[in-house]
Order: sequence, then structure tokens, then C-alpha cells
Amino acid sequence: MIPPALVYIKIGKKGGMGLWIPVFLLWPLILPAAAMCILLAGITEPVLRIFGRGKGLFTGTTGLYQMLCAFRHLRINVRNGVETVSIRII
Amino acid sequence: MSDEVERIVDMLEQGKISAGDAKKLIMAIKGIHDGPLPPLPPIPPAPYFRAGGPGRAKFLKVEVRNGDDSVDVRIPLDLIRAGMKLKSLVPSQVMENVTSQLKDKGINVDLDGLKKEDMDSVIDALSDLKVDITDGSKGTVRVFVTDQP
Repeated sequence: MIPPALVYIKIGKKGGMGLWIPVFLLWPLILPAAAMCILLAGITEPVLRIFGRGKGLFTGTTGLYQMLCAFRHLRINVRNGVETVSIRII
Repeated sequence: MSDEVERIVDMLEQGKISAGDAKKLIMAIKGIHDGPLPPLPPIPPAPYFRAGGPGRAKFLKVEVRNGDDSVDVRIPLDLIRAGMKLKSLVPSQVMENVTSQLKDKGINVDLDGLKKEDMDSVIDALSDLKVDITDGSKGTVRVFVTDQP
């Protein structure tokens, strides 16, 4: 699973310029943080379970990362005769 | 105002062109599409989706065309699958509250009892979804699931 690499946003008149945001530049921050959180959840969940808490902590944390990755390929494109709003996550 | 637009305004003032022609010329200069958009391409044939298989449903597409207006939305179905996992982070008291609130509004769904497998079955069943409404020249609404980006 790979998190989004590029986000394209264009709001305004047709034929105008859009903005490409290089989200992959944040990968060095996102990937280690996600790995740390998942690892931490994996360790703390069994401990918390002993006290009757922390159920689904690991599943939820991995789900959070999966949701971030699932935003890849999302595309929203709305336009009328004059203006356009376009969001693409690649 | 650009030179081209100024010239068009001059021509309009001199009565050489009509207001409609001026509008068309300005839109052409600015690259603004006038008139209805081209028709939507045909819906790709639904592949055989298998639960968890390589050809499983990947995207929910919503396409709306109405003259100059159009909406194209492509939602990855993995968002729903991942969202189901997030359910486990919600405290059970909150889940009970939401369920009771929904029940008050006439929606009888037990969110706490909703399993990932159930949601997978729903998503796999979505592969048969195909809504195609065309109202003559007025517009088209299409909702379908595909494995093609």
C-alpha cells in the first residue's frame, strides 16, 4: 500500500492553471510515523486487552493508514460552462 | 482587458457584430467551451468480480451531464473497506448512541454488529450496480462500478 503521491487541485475558469502538490515529499515523515503508530498499537493492544480495553486498536490504526492510501485514485471533477473544480489524488 | 476583447467590444459598439457574436468570440478567446459537452463514453462492460479476487470492484463512478454542466466523481471502494476498520476505534458507547439515534429516525441498523465480511459482501454486490438515466437532450446520470481507473 502506497500513500498518495500527488494531489492536483484546480479551481477557477476553464483552461486556467491547476496546482500539483507533491505529497510524496511528505513520505519520509508519513511512512515512519505510520510504522511507529502501527507497531505501538500492536504492542499496546495485548497489554490493554488484559485490562479489558484497547480492543480493535491495532485494526483501527492499520485501518487509518489504509484509508490514507485508499485516497489514491480519488477524482472529483465538477464544471459548468465557465468554471471548473477539479481534485485528483494520484 | 486584453487587446482582443477590446477589439470585440469596439466592434460591438460600432454595430458590426451582435451581442451574441461578441459573447461567442470572447468565450472562444478565453478557451471557454460554449454549447453542450460531448456525450459520455459508453459504460465499460462489467468484468466478473470475485470476492477478494484480482478482478474485484475498485471504483464507484458517478457521472452527471446536463448541457454545459458536468460532474465526474470516482470513489475508490477501498475507502469504504478501510472505513470499516476505523469502526473499531469508535467506543462502544458512542456506537450504541449512534444506533439509538438512527433508530429514532426510523433507520434500524445495528452498526455495532456490522462486520467487515458483511461490508465486503455489500461491496461485491455493488459490482452489479448500473444506473443509466438519459433524459433526451436534457441530461444523463450514470452510476456504476468498475475496476478500471
